[in-house]
Amino acid sequence: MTARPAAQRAPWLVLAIVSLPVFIGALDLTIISAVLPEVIVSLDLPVKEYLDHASWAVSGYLLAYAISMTFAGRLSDLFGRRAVYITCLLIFMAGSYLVTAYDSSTLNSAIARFYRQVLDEPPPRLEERYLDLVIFGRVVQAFGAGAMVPVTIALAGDLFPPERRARPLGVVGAIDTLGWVLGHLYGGVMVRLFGQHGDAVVDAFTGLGISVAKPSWETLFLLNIPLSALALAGAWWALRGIHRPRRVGRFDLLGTLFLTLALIGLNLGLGSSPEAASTAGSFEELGRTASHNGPALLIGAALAFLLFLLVEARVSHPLIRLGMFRSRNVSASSVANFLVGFCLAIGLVSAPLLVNFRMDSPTSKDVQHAAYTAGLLLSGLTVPMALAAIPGGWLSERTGYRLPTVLGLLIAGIGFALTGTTWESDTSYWLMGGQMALIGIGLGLTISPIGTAVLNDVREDERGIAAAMILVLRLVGMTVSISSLTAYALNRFDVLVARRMAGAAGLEETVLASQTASLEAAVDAICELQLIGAAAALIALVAALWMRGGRPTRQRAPLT
Amino acid sequence: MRALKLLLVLALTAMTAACGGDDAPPQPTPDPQTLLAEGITQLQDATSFKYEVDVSGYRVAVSVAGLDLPEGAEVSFKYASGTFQMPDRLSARVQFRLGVLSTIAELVALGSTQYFRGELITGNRWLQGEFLPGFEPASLVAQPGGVPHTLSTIRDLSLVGRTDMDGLSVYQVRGRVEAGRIFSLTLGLSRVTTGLLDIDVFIGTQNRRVLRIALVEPPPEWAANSDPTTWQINISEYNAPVSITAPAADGDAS
Repeated sequence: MTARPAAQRAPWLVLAIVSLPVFIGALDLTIISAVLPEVIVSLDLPVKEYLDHASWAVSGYLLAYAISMTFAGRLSDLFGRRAVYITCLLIFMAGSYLVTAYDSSTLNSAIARFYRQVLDEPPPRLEERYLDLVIFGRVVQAFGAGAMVPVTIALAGDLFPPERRARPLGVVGAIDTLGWVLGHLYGGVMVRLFGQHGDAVVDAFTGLGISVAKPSWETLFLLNIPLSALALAGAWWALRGIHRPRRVGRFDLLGTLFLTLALIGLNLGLGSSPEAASTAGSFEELGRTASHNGPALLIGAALAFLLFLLVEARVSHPLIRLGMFRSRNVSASSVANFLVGFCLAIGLVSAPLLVNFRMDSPTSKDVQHAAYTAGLLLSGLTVPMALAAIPGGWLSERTGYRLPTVLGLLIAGIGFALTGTTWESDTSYWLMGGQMALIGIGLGLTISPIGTAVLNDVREDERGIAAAMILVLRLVGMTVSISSLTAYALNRFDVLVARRMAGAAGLEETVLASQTASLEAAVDAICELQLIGAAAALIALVAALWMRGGRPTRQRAPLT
Repeated sequence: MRALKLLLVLALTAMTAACGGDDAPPQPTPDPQTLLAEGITQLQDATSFKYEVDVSGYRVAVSVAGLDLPEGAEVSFKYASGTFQMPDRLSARVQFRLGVLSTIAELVALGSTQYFRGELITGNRWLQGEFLPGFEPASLVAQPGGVPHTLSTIRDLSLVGRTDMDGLSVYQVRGRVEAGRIFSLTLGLSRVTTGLLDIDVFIGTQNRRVLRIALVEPPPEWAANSDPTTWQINISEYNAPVSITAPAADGDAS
């Protein structure tokens, strides 16, 4: 008698095993947002000058995560869940290692060689190459992590019969959300613990005869490797006997390519820094980063998106069937969901920025404490958001999708308006946390109705791609927000500092004025971001009004 | 576009990583004295060059008398990158550390007139004033005291060999230099003033230009167990067309 594979005997166990890396990958979505200044500082680079550049460690991950989510599910249809899942996990592990290998002399020398031999220009300084390698490692990580999400969603479809599929689909979505909700808090708390108890860890290992470096932000990424190795062994075992789907149709390579180009072009175009141009002065070095490519990239992105739509309309097995957007619920939810992601990123970026500008002194302890405070403040946004998804689902079942979505966006808009008009340089963290919670509750209320509205209005065989699309649209909203608003905020910061310094004369007066002006300008720029968030929530609310009202006829488990 | 370039670079770097081979036919070993002399001449005759100074190891403290610093914080030098235009113009970006945080100041010097700005010190407004008291760009190539002159005083010269420096084929020349003579090399920031220091000079095999100078400075006596300070000075973009002009100053620092 042959034993039945685990997939048949214990589908929930299999789902739990394959969901662990999904959770770790989602955790890494936001793990770096609170500790980004710590990363820049540890690389010996000036935070303000390199924040725009370093923000690609966040938005690059989001972008690659979103891109790989769009096509990995389809790849697993063609080549088998197990093979694709395990490949994705290996890519994630390789990326995690690469993030920590930023100071590899081989890699740095290779980059310098490339600049000299191919671009015929001097390479960037070593510390910039370090930062570039951290970003590169993050992008590799994200390609693996993002791709695991739709494969796991598709696996849920393989493991459970149609009538029992809604709950596991909801669980995968919830695990993904839980990961990025907790990521920044985990990052901030761990970096603080490393700072406080790092020496004790080194001593403990030394006592065992093992020499280790003092733990730091890099340790967060190193920890991914043993955890992923465990998950790899588990997945290898658990996914034996998983039904390999029959190859149906061809992979929509052209559609994937155009969508990828559109997303990259959009983010690069929006992220091109006007600040760099405004501070270029007579320095050729700064001039090279000017924003003149921005419009061209945006036009290119629009063109690539049009080509994507054209391909999707013509091929027999498209990546996304455009017909699904004829449904009012799908189209309205998609717009609202994109803007929810846009708003969410404003909250995620603003709090760490303000905390770091308010830092008391430039000591290592204070930088780590700032990361911890930023992590706690961000939890004020994300934990209520995750919790509010529950009443959002309850309301959605009883009143339909529109009411909780509109209500949530109204609350979020009020929250953003409050933060945008009341934050000062000395506002207490308690008050800030309370207002962030208001935004979190508002955004959280929308998650379940938006997700369920889409899932209930697509064909049975499209639920996998629809589930992935919900997550992708929110992530794209986040990347667009981060890449465009970081550049905007830094530009506004310079303008506001210059305005405040207008009256200062003489060195002593200028130095004194600049110290106050920097903090005040930072607070004002951050408040402007919050007001942009309020406007985005209002636009999302208008889109949500287009959703169908009344109780839904078919109801599935809410997707968070 | 930095981000676009980053993607391109990282994607293609992997492909070019192994392309560092040098197929040039073997050449007779040059004399280190002649090599260095050729390098010094090129530097002395350059109409412009880019000068980059990077410090690692024990920190290089910078005196900032009068500035109200947080307790325990110290200002130290990390990195500078500038363009020198003959005979007496310089534009530079200088990175300082304040505690663990870094900040950047920019300097334009035209003869004895200096302009500077920085986020923390001037709120990014250009001011005219003495950022580096007494500094004149011409001192970088002055005879005596300038960088070429300092290189000409290196003693105990030996040729370490021909090596690859991140894709550049260079000769490595090693010697020792009197600590009192490295003022211009280190922008006047080195601590030691007596004794001999180890110095390596990397000279391009094709163009015979000085491309890198590496200098090791011991830590101060009270921190004898610390790592030494390593100064890495890169010189590039010889004779590139540059035009350094005075920025529009918003005020006078004096």
